[in-house]
Amino acid sequence: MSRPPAVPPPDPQGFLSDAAHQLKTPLAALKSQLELAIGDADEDSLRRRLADMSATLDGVIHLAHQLLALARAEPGAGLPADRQPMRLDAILGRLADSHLDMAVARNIDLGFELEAAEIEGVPWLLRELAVNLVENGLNYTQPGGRVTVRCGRRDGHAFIEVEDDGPGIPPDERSRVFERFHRVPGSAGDGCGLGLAIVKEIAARHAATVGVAAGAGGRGARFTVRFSA
Amino acid sequence: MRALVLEDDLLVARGLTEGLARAGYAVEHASTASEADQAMQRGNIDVAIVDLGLPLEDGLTFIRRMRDQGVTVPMLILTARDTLEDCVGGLDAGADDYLTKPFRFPELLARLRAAVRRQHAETSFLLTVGPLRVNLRTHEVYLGEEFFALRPREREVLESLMTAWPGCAAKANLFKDAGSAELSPNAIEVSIFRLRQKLAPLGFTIRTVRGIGYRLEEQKAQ
Repeated sequence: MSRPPAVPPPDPQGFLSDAAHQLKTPLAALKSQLELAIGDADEDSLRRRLADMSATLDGVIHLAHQLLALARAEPGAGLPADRQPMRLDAILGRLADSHLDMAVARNIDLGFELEAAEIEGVPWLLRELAVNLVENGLNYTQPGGRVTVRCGRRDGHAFIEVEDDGPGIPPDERSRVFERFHRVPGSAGDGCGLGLAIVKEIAARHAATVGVAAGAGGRGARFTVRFSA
Repeated sequence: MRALVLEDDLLVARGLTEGLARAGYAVEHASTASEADQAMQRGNIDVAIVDLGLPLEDGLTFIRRMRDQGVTVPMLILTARDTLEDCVGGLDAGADDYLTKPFRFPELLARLRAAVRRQHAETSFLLTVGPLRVNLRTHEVYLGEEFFALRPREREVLESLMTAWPGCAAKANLFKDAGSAELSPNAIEVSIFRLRQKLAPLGFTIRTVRGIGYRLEEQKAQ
């Protein structure tokens, strides 16, 4: 007996319209910067406009990447179940190569405390999770601050932890930061509001929980992903 | 250095050609695999950048065909497709690296350099970072054309740093790579300290990466 094809779910949380809005804003900015640049005779100001456009475009590219990552992390994304035994410390250690330049540019001390932790997981999804936590830390921590990436086993559970000594997240905002497009009011940083939603989605696909608390000494934020085994 | 750009989108191709030329490459542009064939047959291409979605023969088939013919030119895939399957498929076909659009030019240039360096390393055992050069067979280090005098442990550390460059060298591998017995953390620190003093006047620094190890960095001219 064949089942009728699944009806695509509606867009209950208005995700698509949120996403479209998020795209329209920088695109509108690009359009007006471009129009000004076309009529700009002064070379210095033209150069400044081009630099602005390049930065705006970086934001659009980042958003497109994050939307794709979110779509792929969702259950039912049609991905093969390529779960395999893997080492969290190996995945996180490679962030030293990929993200050190970003940390150096922001004058943030990016450090690692990695202990052996093997789990069954999808390596590229967990890398995406870790990247989002680290970039979140680097984006919201002030120059001169510290971001520390940890993994290991605690009470019989594997974990990933990213701690910063930035401004932290007020307690009443902590449950909301994982919502799509939610940004903490008044926060600095130039994220698009999807990074932590991606973290939550990927954690859920690994039957892991994710939570945030204050860091050491009540300062900053500490994100912890705790796996079921 | 001569680069082949196989890309059917003219706007993207123009950007690539201009950017590569500015970085000192001589560039040949091909819009189709058969045009690229002709360039490859002339035999003076050092590195190729290949788009996957091409009219007629696609980029993957082109790369596979080149490898079947014994062409060893380093090839880097540049494409908008970025799923894991695409990436694995490209590398399996014989590409050396994979970069997705939109890309940043400095990253493209770094990957081209790395692809060329890997190919050279297989044949010459020479590793180069800026003016520093190490011969991995004789373990001699040169600064430009001059012999660069270092103590054995400093040389081993530098060799490990250059091997890992532009990535980080894990502390645990600093001496293991060079084959000597494991040293105490203290002895490593001393060697790093001395090496820093010798490299500083040359515009190199060694950054400590907390919990990982060290990274060799070339000071950028301001």
